[in-house]
Amino acid sequence: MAIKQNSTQVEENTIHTQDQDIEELQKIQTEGIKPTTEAYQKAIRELTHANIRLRHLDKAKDEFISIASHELRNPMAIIKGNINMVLAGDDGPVNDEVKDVLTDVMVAVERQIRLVNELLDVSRIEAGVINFNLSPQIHLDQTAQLLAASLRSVAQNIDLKVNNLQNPLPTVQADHDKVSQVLINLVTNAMKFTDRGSITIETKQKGDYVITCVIDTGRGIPKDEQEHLFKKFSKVSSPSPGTISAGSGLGLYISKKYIEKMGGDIWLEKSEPGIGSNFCFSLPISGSKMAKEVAEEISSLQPIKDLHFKS
Amino acid sequence: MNKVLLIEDDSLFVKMYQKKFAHEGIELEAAYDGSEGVQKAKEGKPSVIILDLMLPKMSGSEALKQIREDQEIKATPVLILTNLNTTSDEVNKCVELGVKETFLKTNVTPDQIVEAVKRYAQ
Repeated sequence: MAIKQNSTQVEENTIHTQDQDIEELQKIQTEGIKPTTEAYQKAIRELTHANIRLRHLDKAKDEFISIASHELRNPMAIIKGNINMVLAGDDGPVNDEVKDVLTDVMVAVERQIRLVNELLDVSRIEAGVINFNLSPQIHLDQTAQLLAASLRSVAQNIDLKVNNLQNPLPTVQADHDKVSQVLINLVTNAMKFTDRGSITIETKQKGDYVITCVIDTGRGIPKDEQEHLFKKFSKVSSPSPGTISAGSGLGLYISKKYIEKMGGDIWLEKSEPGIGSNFCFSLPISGSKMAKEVAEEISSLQPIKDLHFKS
Repeated sequence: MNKVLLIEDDSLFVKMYQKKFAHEGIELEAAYDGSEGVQKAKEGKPSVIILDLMLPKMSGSEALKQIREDQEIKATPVLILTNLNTTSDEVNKCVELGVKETFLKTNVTPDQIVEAVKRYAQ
Protein backbone atom coordinates (compact mmCIF):
# COMPACT_ATOMS: atom_id res chain seq x y z
CA MET A 1 0.00 0.00 0.00
CA ALA A 2 2.67 2.45 1.08
CA ILE A 3 4.93 1.40 -1.80
CA LYS A 4 2.22 1.97 -4.33
CA GLN A 5 1.43 5.36 -2.91
CA ASN A 6 5.05 6.40 -2.99
CA SER A 7 5.79 5.13 -6.47
CA THR A 8 2.83 7.07 -7.81
CA GLN A 9 4.28 10.12 -6.19
CA VAL A 10 7.64 9.53 -7.84
CA GLU A 11 5.93 9.30 -11.23
CA GLU A 12 4.00 12.46 -10.57
CA ASN A 13 7.22 14.18 -9.64
CA THR A 14 8.82 13.12 -12.89
CA ILE A 15 5.99 14.61 -14.91
CA HIS A 16 5.95 17.66 -12.76
CA THR A 17 9.69 18.14 -13.16
CA GLN A 18 9.65 18.04 -16.95
CA ASP A 19 7.76 21.30 -16.91
CA GLN A 20 10.25 22.58 -14.41
CA ASP A 21 13.13 21.63 -16.73
CA ILE A 22 11.75 23.81 -19.46
CA GLU A 23 11.10 26.68 -17.08
CA GLU A 24 14.56 26.39 -15.61
CA LEU A 25 16.10 26.25 -19.05
CA GLN A 26 14.19 29.33 -20.23
CA LYS A 27 15.31 31.15 -17.12
CA ILE A 28 18.95 30.27 -17.75
CA GLN A 29 18.60 31.32 -21.38
CA THR A 30 17.03 34.69 -20.64
CA GLU A 31 19.02 35.62 -17.53
CA GLY A 32 22.30 33.85 -18.15
CA ILE A 33 25.36 34.86 -20.12
CA LYS A 34 24.85 35.90 -23.74
CA PRO A 35 26.61 33.39 -25.98
CA THR A 36 28.51 34.81 -28.94
CA THR A 37 27.70 32.17 -31.54
CA GLU A 38 24.75 29.95 -32.27
CA ALA A 39 26.78 26.74 -31.79
CA TYR A 40 27.95 27.91 -28.41
CA GLN A 41 24.38 28.68 -27.42
CA LYS A 42 23.28 25.25 -28.54
CA ALA A 43 26.05 23.55 -26.55
CA ILE A 44 25.06 25.43 -23.40
CA ARG A 45 21.44 24.48 -23.93
CA GLU A 46 22.32 20.81 -24.32
CA LEU A 47 24.61 20.76 -21.31
CA THR A 48 22.03 22.52 -19.18
CA HIS A 49 19.45 19.99 -20.22
CA ALA A 50 21.78 17.06 -19.51
CA ASN A 51 22.68 18.51 -16.13
CA ILE A 52 19.07 18.98 -15.09
CA ARG A 53 18.20 15.46 -16.23
CA LEU A 54 21.11 13.94 -14.28
CA ARG A 55 20.05 15.77 -11.15
CA HIS A 56 16.53 14.45 -11.49
CA LEU A 57 17.91 10.96 -12.01
CA ASP A 58 19.84 11.32 -8.73
CA LYS A 59 16.62 12.42 -7.10
CA ALA A 60 14.80 9.34 -8.38
CA LYS A 61 17.57 7.03 -7.15
CA ASP A 62 17.51 8.73 -3.76
CA GLU A 63 13.76 8.29 -3.53
CA PHE A 64 14.01 4.64 -4.47
CA ILE A 65 16.55 4.02 -1.69
CA SER A 66 14.38 5.92 0.81
CA ILE A 67 11.37 3.78 -0.01
CA ALA A 68 13.45 0.60 0.08
CA SER A 69 14.87 1.58 3.50
CA HIS A 70 11.42 2.14 4.86
CA GLU A 71 9.98 -1.11 3.58
CA LEU A 72 12.98 -3.18 4.68
CA ARG A 73 13.32 -1.66 8.12
CA ASN A 74 9.70 -1.58 9.24
CA PRO A 75 9.26 -5.38 9.55
CA MET A 76 12.57 -5.69 11.38
CA ALA A 77 11.54 -2.95 13.83
CA ILE A 78 8.28 -4.83 14.46
CA ILE A 79 10.07 -8.15 15.08
CA LYS A 80 12.63 -6.51 17.36
CA GLY A 81 10.00 -4.55 19.32
CA ASN A 82 7.68 -7.49 19.87
CA ILE A 83 10.46 -9.84 20.99
CA ASN A 84 11.73 -7.17 23.33
CA MET A 85 8.26 -6.87 24.89
CA VAL A 86 7.87 -10.64 25.30
CA LEU A 87 11.37 -10.91 26.83
CA ALA A 88 10.53 -8.07 29.22
CA GLY A 89 7.62 -10.15 30.48
CA ASP A 90 4.86 -7.84 29.18
CA ASP A 91 2.78 -10.90 28.20
CA GLY A 92 3.55 -12.84 31.37
CA PRO A 93 6.45 -14.93 32.65
CA VAL A 94 8.79 -16.46 30.05
CA ASN A 95 10.56 -19.74 30.82
CA ASP A 96 14.29 -20.12 30.28
CA GLU A 97 14.02 -22.23 27.13
CA VAL A 98 11.75 -19.73 25.38
CA LYS A 99 13.97 -16.91 26.61
CA ASP A 100 16.99 -18.67 25.10
CA VAL A 101 15.27 -19.08 21.72
CA LEU A 102 14.01 -15.51 21.65
CA THR A 103 17.44 -14.18 22.57
CA ASP A 104 18.88 -16.00 19.53
CA VAL A 105 16.15 -14.50 17.35
CA MET A 106 16.96 -11.07 18.75
CA VAL A 107 20.68 -11.46 17.96
CA ALA A 108 19.78 -12.55 14.41
CA VAL A 109 17.45 -9.58 13.93
CA GLU A 110 20.10 -7.17 15.18
CA ARG A 111 22.54 -8.71 12.71
CA GLN A 112 19.99 -8.35 9.93
CA ILE A 113 19.35 -4.72 10.83
CA ARG A 114 23.07 -4.00 10.69
CA LEU A 115 23.41 -5.74 7.34
CA VAL A 116 20.47 -3.89 5.80
CA ASN A 117 21.83 -0.59 7.12
CA GLU A 118 25.19 -1.32 5.55
CA LEU A 119 23.70 -2.41 2.23
CA LEU A 120 21.65 0.78 2.13
CA ASP A 121 24.76 2.83 2.88
CA VAL A 122 26.53 1.11 -0.01
CA SER A 123 23.56 1.79 -2.34
CA ARG A 124 23.65 5.45 -1.39
CA ILE A 125 27.41 5.62 -1.93
CA GLU A 126 27.16 3.97 -5.34
CA ALA A 127 24.17 6.02 -6.42
CA GLY A 128 26.09 9.13 -5.32
CA VAL A 129 23.21 10.35 -3.18
CA ILE A 130 24.67 10.50 0.35
CA ASN A 131 23.86 13.61 2.36
CA PHE A 132 26.54 15.03 4.62
CA ASN A 133 25.64 17.35 7.50
CA LEU A 134 29.06 18.94 7.89
CA SER A 135 29.86 20.62 11.19
CA PRO A 136 33.08 22.55 11.96
CA GLN A 137 32.77 21.68 15.65
CA ILE A 138 33.70 18.00 15.82
CA HIS A 139 35.89 17.24 18.84
CA LEU A 140 37.32 13.84 17.99
CA ASP A 141 38.75 13.31 21.49
CA GLN A 142 35.27 13.80 22.99
CA THR A 143 33.64 11.60 20.34
CA ALA A 144 36.19 8.89 21.22
CA GLN A 145 35.56 9.26 24.98
CA LEU A 146 31.78 8.93 24.55
CA LEU A 147 32.16 5.91 22.31
CA ALA A 148 34.61 4.18 24.64
CA ALA A 149 32.26 4.77 27.59
CA SER A 150 29.34 3.23 25.72
CA LEU A 151 31.32 0.19 24.51
CA ARG A 152 33.14 -0.62 27.77
CA SER A 153 30.31 -2.80 29.06
CA VAL A 154 30.53 -5.10 26.01
CA ALA A 155 34.33 -5.07 25.79
CA GLN A 156 34.89 -7.77 28.40
CA ASN A 157 38.49 -8.58 29.40
CA ILE A 158 39.74 -5.71 27.23
CA ASP A 159 41.07 -2.40 28.49
CA LEU A 160 39.35 0.13 26.19
CA LYS A 161 40.97 3.54 26.55
CA VAL A 162 41.38 6.92 24.87
CA ASN A 163 44.72 8.66 24.59
CA ASN A 164 44.75 12.25 23.31
CA LEU A 165 48.33 13.23 22.40
CA GLN A 166 47.57 16.90 21.78
CA ASN A 167 45.74 19.12 24.25
CA PRO A 168 43.70 21.01 23.22
CA LEU A 169 43.01 19.04 20.07
CA PRO A 170 41.80 21.24 17.16
CA THR A 171 38.24 20.61 15.97
CA VAL A 172 37.69 18.99 12.59
CA GLN A 173 35.03 19.54 9.95
CA ALA A 174 32.94 16.40 9.49
CA ASP A 175 29.50 14.83 9.66
CA HIS A 176 29.13 13.77 13.29
CA ASP A 177 27.03 10.64 12.70
CA LYS A 178 29.32 9.40 9.95
CA VAL A 179 32.51 9.91 11.97
CA SER A 180 30.91 8.04 14.87
CA GLN A 181 29.95 5.24 12.49
CA VAL A 182 33.54 4.95 11.24
CA LEU A 183 34.97 4.96 14.75
CA ILE A 184 32.42 2.39 15.99
CA ASN A 185 33.30 0.23 13.00
CA LEU A 186 37.05 0.35 13.75
CA VAL A 187 36.60 -0.29 17.48
CA THR A 188 34.09 -3.15 17.09
CA ASN A 189 36.36 -4.71 14.43
CA ALA A 190 39.24 -4.53 16.91
CA MET A 191 37.03 -6.08 19.59
CA LYS A 192 36.23 -9.05 17.35
CA PHE A 193 39.90 -9.89 16.95
CA THR A 194 41.17 -9.03 20.44
CA ASP A 195 40.65 -11.54 23.25
CA ARG A 196 42.81 -9.84 25.86
CA GLY A 197 44.99 -6.80 26.34
CA SER A 198 43.88 -3.38 25.21
CA ILE A 199 42.26 -1.25 22.51
CA THR A 200 43.45 2.34 22.46
CA ILE A 201 41.86 5.19 20.51
CA GLU A 202 44.64 7.69 19.95
CA THR A 203 44.09 11.24 18.69
CA LYS A 204 46.74 13.70 17.52
CA GLN A 205 47.32 16.61 15.16
CA LYS A 206 49.45 16.35 12.03
CA GLY A 207 49.62 19.50 9.92
CA ASP A 208 46.12 20.46 8.77
CA TYR A 209 44.66 17.14 9.92
CA VAL A 210 43.65 15.33 13.07
CA ILE A 211 44.68 11.69 12.98
CA THR A 212 42.65 9.14 14.92
CA CYS A 213 44.09 5.65 15.39
CA VAL A 214 42.58 2.49 16.83
CA ILE A 215 45.37 0.32 18.18
CA ASP A 216 44.66 -3.18 19.42
CA THR A 217 46.68 -6.05 20.89
CA GLY A 218 44.69 -8.65 18.95
CA ARG A 219 45.82 -11.37 16.64
CA GLY A 220 46.67 -9.15 13.67
CA ILE A 221 45.96 -9.55 9.96
CA PRO A 222 48.02 -11.84 7.73
CA LYS A 223 50.08 -9.94 5.10
CA ASP A 224 48.25 -11.42 2.10
CA GLU A 225 44.88 -10.27 3.42
CA GLN A 226 45.93 -6.73 4.18
CA GLU A 227 45.60 -5.26 0.69
CA HIS A 228 41.95 -6.29 0.28
CA LEU A 229 40.72 -4.85 3.58
CA PHE A 230 38.93 -1.79 2.19
CA LYS A 231 37.26 -3.62 -0.68
CA LYS A 232 33.59 -4.53 -0.68
CA PHE A 233 32.69 -7.81 1.08
CA SER A 234 36.27 -8.31 2.23
CA LYS A 235 36.48 -10.41 5.36
CA VAL A 236 39.50 -11.37 7.37
CA SER A 237 39.70 -15.14 7.84
CA SER A 238 38.47 -16.44 11.13
CA PRO A 239 40.70 -18.41 13.54
CA SER A 240 38.01 -20.87 14.57
CA PRO A 241 35.14 -21.55 12.17
CA GLY A 242 31.89 -19.71 12.86
CA THR A 243 33.19 -17.19 15.37
CA ILE A 244 33.56 -14.07 13.24
CA SER A 245 30.82 -14.71 10.71
CA ALA A 246 28.67 -11.83 11.92
CA GLY A 247 30.35 -9.13 9.83
CA SER A 248 29.20 -8.27 6.33
CA GLY A 249 32.59 -7.19 5.04
CA LEU A 250 31.16 -3.79 4.17
CA GLY A 251 32.18 -1.75 7.21
CA LEU A 252 35.67 -0.72 6.09
CA TYR A 253 34.49 -0.07 2.52
CA ILE A 254 31.78 2.31 3.79
CA SER A 255 34.22 3.93 6.24
CA LYS A 256 36.72 4.58 3.45
CA LYS A 257 34.10 6.20 1.21
CA TYR A 258 32.80 8.41 4.04
CA ILE A 259 36.23 9.55 5.19
CA GLU A 260 37.38 10.30 1.64
CA LYS A 261 34.24 12.37 0.94
CA MET A 262 34.98 14.39 4.07
CA GLY A 263 38.50 15.17 2.81
CA GLY A 264 40.46 12.62 4.81
CA ASP A 265 42.04 9.24 4.36
CA ILE A 266 41.84 5.88 6.15
CA TRP A 267 44.53 3.23 6.20
CA LEU A 268 46.07 0.28 7.97
CA GLU A 269 49.12 1.76 9.66
CA LYS A 270 50.53 -1.55 10.83
CA SER A 271 49.43 -5.08 11.59
CA GLU A 272 51.50 -7.98 12.81
CA PRO A 273 50.15 -11.45 13.45
CA GLY A 274 50.15 -12.13 17.17
CA ILE A 275 50.92 -8.53 18.12
CA GLY A 276 47.98 -6.45 16.92
CA SER A 277 46.66 -3.97 14.37
CA ASN A 278 46.66 -0.20 14.07
CA PHE A 279 44.04 1.45 11.83
CA CYS A 280 44.10 5.24 11.35
CA PHE A 281 42.01 7.90 9.65
CA SER A 282 42.55 11.60 9.09
CA LEU A 283 40.06 14.47 8.90
CA PRO A 284 40.75 18.10 7.95
CA ILE A 285 40.93 20.68 10.76
CA SER A 286 38.07 23.21 10.61
CA GLY A 287 38.90 26.25 8.51
CA SER A 288 41.83 24.54 6.72
CA LYS A 289 42.16 24.75 2.94
CA MET A 290 41.00 21.14 2.53
CA ALA A 291 38.01 21.71 4.85
CA LYS A 292 36.88 24.66 2.71
CA GLU A 293 37.27 22.70 -0.52
CA VAL A 294 35.25 19.79 0.91
CA ALA A 295 32.48 22.09 2.14
CA GLU A 296 32.24 23.63 -1.33
CA GLU A 297 32.33 20.26 -3.09
CA ILE A 298 29.66 18.74 -0.85
CA SER A 299 27.28 21.69 -1.09
CA SER A 300 27.51 21.55 -4.91
CA LEU A 301 26.86 17.80 -4.95
CA GLN A 302 23.85 17.65 -2.66
CA PRO A 303 20.85 16.34 -4.55
CA ILE A 304 18.32 19.03 -5.43
CA LYS A 305 15.81 19.52 -2.68
CA ASP A 306 12.11 20.12 -2.23
CA LEU A 307 10.73 17.63 -4.71
CA HIS A 308 9.90 15.15 -1.95
CA PHE A 309 6.36 13.95 -1.46
CA LYS A 310 4.53 16.69 -3.34
CA SER A 311 0.84 15.96 -3.22
CA MET B 1 -0.89 12.85 31.07
CA ASN B 2 -3.51 13.13 28.34
CA LYS B 3 -3.43 10.56 25.56
CA VAL B 4 -0.56 10.05 23.12
CA LEU B 5 -1.11 10.24 19.34
CA LEU B 6 0.82 7.86 17.07
CA ILE B 7 0.77 8.80 13.37
CA GLU B 8 1.90 5.63 11.56
CA ASP B 9 0.55 3.72 8.56
CA ASP B 10 1.74 0.19 9.38
CA SER B 11 -1.01 -1.51 11.39
CA LEU B 12 1.34 -4.11 12.91
CA PHE B 13 3.54 -1.32 14.16
CA VAL B 14 0.52 0.48 15.62
CA LYS B 15 -0.69 -2.73 17.29
CA MET B 16 2.68 -3.26 18.94
CA TYR B 17 2.72 0.27 20.38
CA GLN B 18 -0.88 0.09 21.46
CA LYS B 19 -0.05 -2.99 23.48
CA LYS B 20 3.02 -1.40 25.03
CA PHE B 21 1.23 1.82 26.01
CA ALA B 22 -1.79 -0.10 27.37
CA HIS B 23 0.65 -2.08 29.51
CA GLU B 24 1.96 1.23 30.86
CA GLY B 25 -1.56 2.55 31.47
CA ILE B 26 -1.27 5.29 28.85
CA GLU B 27 -3.96 5.79 26.21
CA LEU B 28 -2.58 5.67 22.66
CA GLU B 29 -4.64 6.90 19.74
CA ALA B 30 -3.56 5.98 16.21
CA ALA B 31 -3.83 7.86 12.91
CA TYR B 32 -2.91 6.03 9.71
CA ASP B 33 -1.97 8.91 7.42
CA GLY B 34 -0.72 12.49 7.64
CA SER B 35 -4.03 14.30 7.24
CA GLU B 36 -5.84 12.02 9.69
CA GLY B 37 -2.96 12.69 12.06
CA VAL B 38 -3.36 16.47 11.87
CA GLN B 39 -7.12 16.15 12.33
CA LYS B 40 -6.81 13.87 15.37
CA ALA B 41 -4.16 16.15 16.87
CA LYS B 42 -6.57 19.10 16.60
CA GLU B 43 -9.51 17.17 18.04
CA GLY B 44 -7.77 15.16 20.75
CA LYS B 45 -5.04 17.60 21.89
CA PRO B 46 -2.62 14.80 22.82
CA SER B 47 0.17 15.30 25.38
CA VAL B 48 2.76 13.98 22.95
CA ILE B 49 2.73 13.11 19.23
CA ILE B 50 4.82 10.27 17.81
CA LEU B 51 5.24 10.86 14.09
CA ASP B 52 6.37 8.54 11.30
CA LEU B 53 7.58 10.40 8.19
CA MET B 54 6.78 8.29 5.13
CA LEU B 55 3.01 8.41 5.24
CA PRO B 56 0.21 8.16 2.71
CA LYS B 57 -1.69 11.29 1.64
CA MET B 58 0.53 13.77 3.47
CA SER B 59 4.21 13.49 4.40
CA GLY B 60 5.30 13.66 8.03
CA SER B 61 6.98 17.05 7.58
CA GLU B 62 3.83 18.53 6.00
CA ALA B 63 1.72 17.16 8.88
CA LEU B 64 4.17 18.67 11.37
CA LYS B 65 4.04 22.02 9.54
CA GLN B 66 0.23 22.08 9.87
CA ILE B 67 0.46 21.14 13.55
CA ARG B 68 2.92 23.98 14.17
CA GLU B 69 0.59 26.44 12.37
CA ASP B 70 -2.39 25.64 14.60
CA GLN B 71 -2.56 28.01 17.59
CA GLU B 72 -4.07 25.44 19.95
CA ILE B 73 -1.71 22.53 19.38
CA LYS B 74 1.45 24.16 18.04
CA ALA B 75 3.41 23.61 21.26
CA THR B 76 2.74 19.85 21.43
CA PRO B 77 6.00 17.89 21.92
CA VAL B 78 6.69 15.77 18.82
CA LEU B 79 8.93 12.70 18.59
CA ILE B 80 10.00 11.45 15.18
CA LEU B 81 10.04 7.67 14.75
CA THR B 82 11.30 6.89 11.28
CA ASN B 83 13.20 4.56 8.98
CA LEU B 84 14.75 7.44 7.05
CA ASN B 85 18.36 8.35 7.69
CA THR B 86 18.87 11.27 10.05
CA THR B 87 20.59 13.21 7.25
CA SER B 88 17.60 12.99 4.89
CA ASP B 89 15.83 16.17 3.76
CA GLU B 90 12.57 15.03 5.31
CA VAL B 91 14.17 14.65 8.77
CA ASN B 92 15.99 17.99 8.40
CA LYS B 93 12.72 19.75 7.56
CA CYS B 94 11.11 18.36 10.71
CA VAL B 95 14.09 19.34 12.87
CA GLU B 96 13.71 22.92 11.56
CA LEU B 97 10.03 22.86 12.49
CA GLY B 98 10.93 21.74 16.01
CA VAL B 99 10.99 18.17 17.31
CA LYS B 100 12.08 16.87 20.70
CA GLU B 101 13.99 13.84 19.47
CA THR B 102 14.41 11.73 16.34
CA PHE B 103 14.50 7.93 16.71
CA LEU B 104 15.33 5.34 14.09
CA LYS B 105 12.72 2.60 14.28
CA THR B 106 15.25 -0.22 14.13
CA ASN B 107 17.43 1.36 16.84
CA VAL B 108 14.83 1.67 19.59
CA THR B 109 12.57 -0.64 21.53
CA PRO B 110 9.00 0.30 22.58
CA ASP B 111 10.04 0.80 26.23
CA GLN B 112 12.55 3.47 25.16
CA ILE B 113 9.77 5.31 23.33
CA VAL B 114 7.52 5.08 26.40
CA GLU B 115 10.35 6.57 28.48
CA ALA B 116 10.78 9.42 26.00
CA VAL B 117 7.03 10.11 25.96
CA LYS B 118 7.00 10.30 29.78
CA ARG B 119 9.96 12.69 29.65
CA TYR B 120 8.22 15.16 27.36
CA ALA B 121 4.58 14.87 28.45
CA GLN B 122 3.43 17.98 30.29
